[in-house]
Amino acid sequence: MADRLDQADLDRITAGVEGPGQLLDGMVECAANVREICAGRGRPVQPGEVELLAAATVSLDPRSDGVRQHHRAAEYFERHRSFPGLTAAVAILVRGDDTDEFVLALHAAHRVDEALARTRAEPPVLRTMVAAATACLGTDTVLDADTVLDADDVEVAAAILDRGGELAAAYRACDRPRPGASLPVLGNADFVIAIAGYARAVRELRHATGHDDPLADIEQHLPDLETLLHRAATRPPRFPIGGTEPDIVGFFRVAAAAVGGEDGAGKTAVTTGSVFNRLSRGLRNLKISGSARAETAAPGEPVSPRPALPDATSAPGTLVDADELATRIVDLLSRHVAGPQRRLIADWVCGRRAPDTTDDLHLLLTRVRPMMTGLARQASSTCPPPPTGVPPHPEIAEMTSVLRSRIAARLALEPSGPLELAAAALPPLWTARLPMILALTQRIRLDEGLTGTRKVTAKILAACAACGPAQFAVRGDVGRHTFAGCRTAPTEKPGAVRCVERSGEGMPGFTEVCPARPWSEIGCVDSHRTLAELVDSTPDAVRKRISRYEGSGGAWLGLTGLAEL
Amino acid sequence: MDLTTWDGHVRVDYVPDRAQLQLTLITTVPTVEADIRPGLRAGFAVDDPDGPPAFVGLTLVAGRVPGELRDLVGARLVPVAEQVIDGPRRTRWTRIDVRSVHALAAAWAPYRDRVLSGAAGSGDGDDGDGDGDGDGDGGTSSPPAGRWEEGLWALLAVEDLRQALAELPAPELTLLSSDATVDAPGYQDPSVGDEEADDDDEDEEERVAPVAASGRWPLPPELADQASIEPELTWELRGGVVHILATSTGLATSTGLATSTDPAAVGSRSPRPPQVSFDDGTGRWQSFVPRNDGRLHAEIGSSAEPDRLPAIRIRVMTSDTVLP
Ligand SMILES: [Zn+2]
Ligand SMILES: [Zn+2]
Repeated sequence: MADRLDQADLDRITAGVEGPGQLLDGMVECAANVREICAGRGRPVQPGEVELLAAATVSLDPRSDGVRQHHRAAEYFERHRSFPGLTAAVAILVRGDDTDEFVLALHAAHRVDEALARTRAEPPVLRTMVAAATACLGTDTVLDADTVLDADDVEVAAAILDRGGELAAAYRACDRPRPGASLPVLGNADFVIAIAGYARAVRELRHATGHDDPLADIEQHLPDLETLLHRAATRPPRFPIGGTEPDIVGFFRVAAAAVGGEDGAGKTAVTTGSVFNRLSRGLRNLKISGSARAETAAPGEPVSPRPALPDATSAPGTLVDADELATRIVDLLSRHVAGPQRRLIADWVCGRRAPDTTDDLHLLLTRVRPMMTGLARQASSTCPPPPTGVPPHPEIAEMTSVLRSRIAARLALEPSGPLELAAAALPPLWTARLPMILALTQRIRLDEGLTGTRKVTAKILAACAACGPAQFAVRGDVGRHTFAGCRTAPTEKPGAVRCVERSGEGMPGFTEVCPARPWSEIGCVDSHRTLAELVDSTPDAVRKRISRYEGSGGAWLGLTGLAEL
Repeated sequence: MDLTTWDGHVRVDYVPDRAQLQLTLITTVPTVEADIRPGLRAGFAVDDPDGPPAFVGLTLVAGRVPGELRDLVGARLVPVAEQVIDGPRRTRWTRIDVRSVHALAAAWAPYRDRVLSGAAGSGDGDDGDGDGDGDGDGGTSSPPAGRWEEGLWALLAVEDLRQALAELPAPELTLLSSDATVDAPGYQDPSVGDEEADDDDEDEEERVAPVAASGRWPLPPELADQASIEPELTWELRGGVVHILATSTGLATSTGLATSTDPAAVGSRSPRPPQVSFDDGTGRWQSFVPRNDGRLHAEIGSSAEPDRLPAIRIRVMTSDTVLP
């Protein structure tokens, strides 16, 4: 049942209990009580309602202590089952004070969003906004029968997406005023115009358009939209996450409201914003998943963001058992993660995730890091027993099986150390390191609100974070390797070059620094010196920038430690 | 949850009324955009000096993406562009991976540099000064190289050329007026004077047209290296035509063909001569041709007014790239 929860839910609930085992006990106990209550009322829990029951044992009501309030859980369960077809995924998003109308809209929006996700390529945030707007269309408007009579919600949403895109492009193509001048850290013309396009498409469906000329209508609405988004983007975050990140969640909620209703005001707009907000909760929690914190350390050990360099000479010779190593890797990768995150990890480990995408990168990197730290400790003999009382998840079994066969295949070829084996067995998150460093730079810059001269820090941190399972950024003024088989390109520091691609046979030694190491290669990938060349700085300034960041408690902290060479 | 251009969410649109194709790498961060030239507009994320274009608006020619822009848009997105041009759906989202984003960023680097520096120049002036430039003619900082397909390209700084043209007497104002009377050169770089006399003996076309102005353009070292030329070009304005001279570093023969047959050198040494073109959308490239003195020579003209003189591009392609 924890499968239906995301990290934030789990964090909130586990705050009051000692561990997942106790949490599960509590939920099981609660579910049993709800069964009893329902049976006593003559409406016993049906076999098809088990997931709803599980969802009801965890309430989203922040005032609730989660698992102990059996009667409240029974009320939730009774209510959820009264909505035909309500799934557990939506049920856990429902709060006690939601109106029936809102629950129905949430239900419809979730269904539309999932359906669109299978057929459309819009960015999830825009797709979910339009799904929410579609679900809220009917709440205060009578639609034109010709338009929607035969169309299912999903088709209506797809039509809004198409029409909105078309209008945004048409608006861009003519010499109409371009918004954006007043938008601060967040927001740019194209994002605002995209929102304005969807909003107009929704107005057209509702016959609520003020102008016959759609572009004139968009132009007329842009200033208000810009003002709303500007206000949302400059408001301090309601839930500060560390750093100075503006309230992106509030920003998107305002954008969703604008898509849903007249100028972002009125009941429909507010409902659309709330539905969007509720649905995208998982999305945002993935980004800020608490997993960066503390997970690098085994229980009782201090948090050390600095990975230990394994002993290169002894590592390859270590006798490794494929079965034990696979179990250990899976345990280190998935310990203490909630269902949605575990599924993402399994998708990656089992080869269902394409490399070179930024999706879930923070989550996956924050799992790789404790894994390498754990393996590098050479502590394979102290493999912890699986958590008591918890049956293994299918994903755990699948990951273990896949890794076991990959490791065994590799071992049949040559004896290798645990880290090398892990690096060879885990699918690459990138096929070239430099593009991923540049992509991560922008992600970190936004996540941590690094502006002005601190932008440089983001690039340094990105290079530290972009390490494969057996790769290390190291401290010190250490230059690039002398190995000849790398194609290089100029860096920001005039005259210096940086490896961008392996072009020859062989590989540099383990302790040599090569920024272009392929994912599965073991060794050092950056140093204070190569980082300084990357950003046109000095090794000492780089060191200072990193330690300044280490004092900030940012979300990327666990990923940016440098090893001691 | 916020979006950066590196997330690779691209909306590809075609607006038939305007014959305009648009690429939007949607992001939630501020961007700045500018007209590169008629028919080409591009925007970039303000805070991303390594990033891809966040927006490209380009005018189709005969219903097609013009050849040179196909290379810049890249093999990943051109098919999507053709889909929306063919219709009936005129808008389409696609997802490109980080390497494709990086390829776009690398290809558009010269335009990015121009658009972002233009923004900085006209902006709030909070960043003090750029890196110290040298003084005088042509500047000493080299422009960034753009990487497309298997080649490299760069934008040359033509401000000095524009200025020289503006200072010329009226008949010189229109480039390509081949029989223009030339009497008073507005500017002459003494450092190239002697060489000039030699050149005139060799080229009868040039003999009738003395140098009206000249200067130097730095090249990206990477590009110069690949073209086997010194990282600086000399330009001369003569008879309404811009003559551009490059000095071979000796790795290429007088026919412009590299002598190296070392497989490791393939891709790093170009057997093809570099080419220049006005960035006016016509895509007419002129190849550098070796002269007897060993220097490489190319000439280009434009009918544009001096103050609207297009930028000049230089490119070098590797052997396995087929030139259009
Ligand atoms: Zn209105
Ligand atoms: Zn290297």
